[in-house]
Amino acid sequence: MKKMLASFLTLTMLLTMLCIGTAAAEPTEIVFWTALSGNLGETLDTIISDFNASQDDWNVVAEYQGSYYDIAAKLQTAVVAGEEPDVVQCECSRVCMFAEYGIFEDLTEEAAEYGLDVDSLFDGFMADCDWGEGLYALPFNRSTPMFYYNKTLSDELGLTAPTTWDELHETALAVSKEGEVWGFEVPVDSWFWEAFIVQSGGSLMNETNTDIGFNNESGWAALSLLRSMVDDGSMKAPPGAEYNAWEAARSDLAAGITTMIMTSSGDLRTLMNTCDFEVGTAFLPANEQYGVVTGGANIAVLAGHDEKMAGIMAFLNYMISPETAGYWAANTGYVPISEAASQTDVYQEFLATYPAGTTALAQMEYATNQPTIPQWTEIANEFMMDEMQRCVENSEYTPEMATQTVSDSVKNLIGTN
Amino acid sequence: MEDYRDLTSTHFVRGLKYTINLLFKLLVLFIVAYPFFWVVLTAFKPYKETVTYPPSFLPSTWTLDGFRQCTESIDVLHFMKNTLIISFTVLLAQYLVIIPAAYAFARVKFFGKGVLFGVVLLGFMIPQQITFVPVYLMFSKAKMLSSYWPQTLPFIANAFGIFLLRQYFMQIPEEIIEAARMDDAGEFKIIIDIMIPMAKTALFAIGLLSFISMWNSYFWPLIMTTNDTYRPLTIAVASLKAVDGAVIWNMLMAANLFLIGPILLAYLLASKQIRSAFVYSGIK
Repeated sequence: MKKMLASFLTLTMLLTMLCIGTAAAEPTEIVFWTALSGNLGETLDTIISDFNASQDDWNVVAEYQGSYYDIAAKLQTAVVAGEEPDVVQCECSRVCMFAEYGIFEDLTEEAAEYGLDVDSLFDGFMADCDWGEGLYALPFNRSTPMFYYNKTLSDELGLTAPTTWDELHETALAVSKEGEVWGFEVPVDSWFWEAFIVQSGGSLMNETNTDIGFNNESGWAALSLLRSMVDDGSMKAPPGAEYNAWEAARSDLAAGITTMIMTSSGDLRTLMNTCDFEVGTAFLPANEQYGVVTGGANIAVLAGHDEKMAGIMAFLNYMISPETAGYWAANTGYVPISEAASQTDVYQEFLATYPAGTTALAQMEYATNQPTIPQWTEIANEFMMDEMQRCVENSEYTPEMATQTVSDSVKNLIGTN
Repeated sequence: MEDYRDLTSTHFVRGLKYTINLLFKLLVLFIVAYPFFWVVLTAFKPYKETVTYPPSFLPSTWTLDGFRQCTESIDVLHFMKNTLIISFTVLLAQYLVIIPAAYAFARVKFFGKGVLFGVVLLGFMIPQQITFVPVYLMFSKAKMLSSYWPQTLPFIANAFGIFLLRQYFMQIPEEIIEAARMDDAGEFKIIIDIMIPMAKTALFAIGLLSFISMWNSYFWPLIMTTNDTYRPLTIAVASLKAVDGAVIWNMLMAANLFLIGPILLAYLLASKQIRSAFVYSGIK
């Protein structure tokens, strides 16, 4: 099939050359690939058209390219062909990988030259943009795991939001009715396991990044808790894979099948709009300490686009400014990327409508980032996800076996075995 | 007496077989059709009802909210136009390639035929996921990305179609072609007047398969295009499922109805054609 292609190409090339019009020279186009569609995409479009209207030299064009996974795949292909965009939205655990490949530009010097105020951004979000080897991205749509509960029901029963794992288990048992109502539900997803590990005082990787840091009690604790809660009927493991499980958890809370769930801080609006009762929010309960691992996506600049750097930096400056960041957070439900953004009028109005939004901001004090090693996406999405699911579903498969398997796979992957 | 007993028992066995057969067919029909019913019913529900528990079967109030939201979020007509252009271009243009190619492979002796046919076979045995990078690079060099070209050209040379049609052409009795040659018919006339009418069934089957696969393609156009100008409906529908936040089920299912409606129609129309092609083809 592909063999015929060559001859066709030569035949049609002339024709196509004629069809391609010459693009307008002014203003210079800056192409921005994003994974945002629907309401998120519309909010971004508003922000970008405001930027374009504010000056005459640059015209930013946002182009939707599918999911975070699709973008990563497209980017790898496009870079080989020299068809890559100027700026890209990159899921935060993948930034390090692309930086290591030399695909993303180190913006340290440019940030100083163009006066980019990166110091004002939350450390918890900057950690996977600048991990000591250069400034490879800026936080954009960032979120953290958050704890949501049916406040109306809890008030009726005289219960409060649990602050520790033990309280979580007790509260969940108190409201569960066998086969009808489950006290607690959380997607069996590595993002939450990461948070549980941090809460148990563990670390995701060891200090030298040669092995995982939770092949010990800090990794086992969460798996044991989830197993025992599933066993005694106080937790429902949502069906479905990947984001379908998240959807199931949200729907179950809204439907009254579960009373407490963990999901993204970005789901606040959705939950408040779909639940017929008052939705309460709280920190993820602590084991030894509070803790969450941030998620979402950053903005990165492609390497070698120096001729457009002035425009790109003007755009980034605009994006991280308190006004834009505050507007973005208020209209989407993502966590503001700086203290100043959270103080803007537009975000304060959002908090007045959705007071539960303050929880996500306050929880930032305990936020940490995913390890900045190129392999982390694979470790979390493949190894941790699989072992976590196997361990929660299969009573024969102990937490010790699960973390040992993750450790073995990671050592094989990194080459330290 | 014995004959009579035999008769009732065969009668009974036949009846039983018929019933089991019917029940099995109904079961298969149910399994296949149920998700479609669910799509249709969900598309007409208000959003709140799509996430309530226990789920309702029929919408409590029939509403067009889903369709309205869908047409507000994406330009359905624009994307549908792209999908139609891409699908029909491939559907029609591929016959210009596969009919002469299949005829040559089936009926003409030429040097290197075996090797060339092997290349064709390779063409449809290698999955898209392996070939997309080199094809992308070729289109990039030719400055033809972000157009209809990369979405249609590679599929017009339909390797599977060439293979299937060649097998079909080979079954046509040599005598018929010999008789035509005796009457001074050229190769072109033989193809038009004998091969094509006799291979109607295969041509319809190939057309239908390629139409459906073009209509449904997502990965290929997503890689080959960067903006909405030339993108098909599949990508637009997928974009309705946002990266974070809730899935608006009634909107998503309404969009899916736009997507599967025409393909169901194509099935209905083509199945009739295929059946009639079987009857008149003259080959048993």
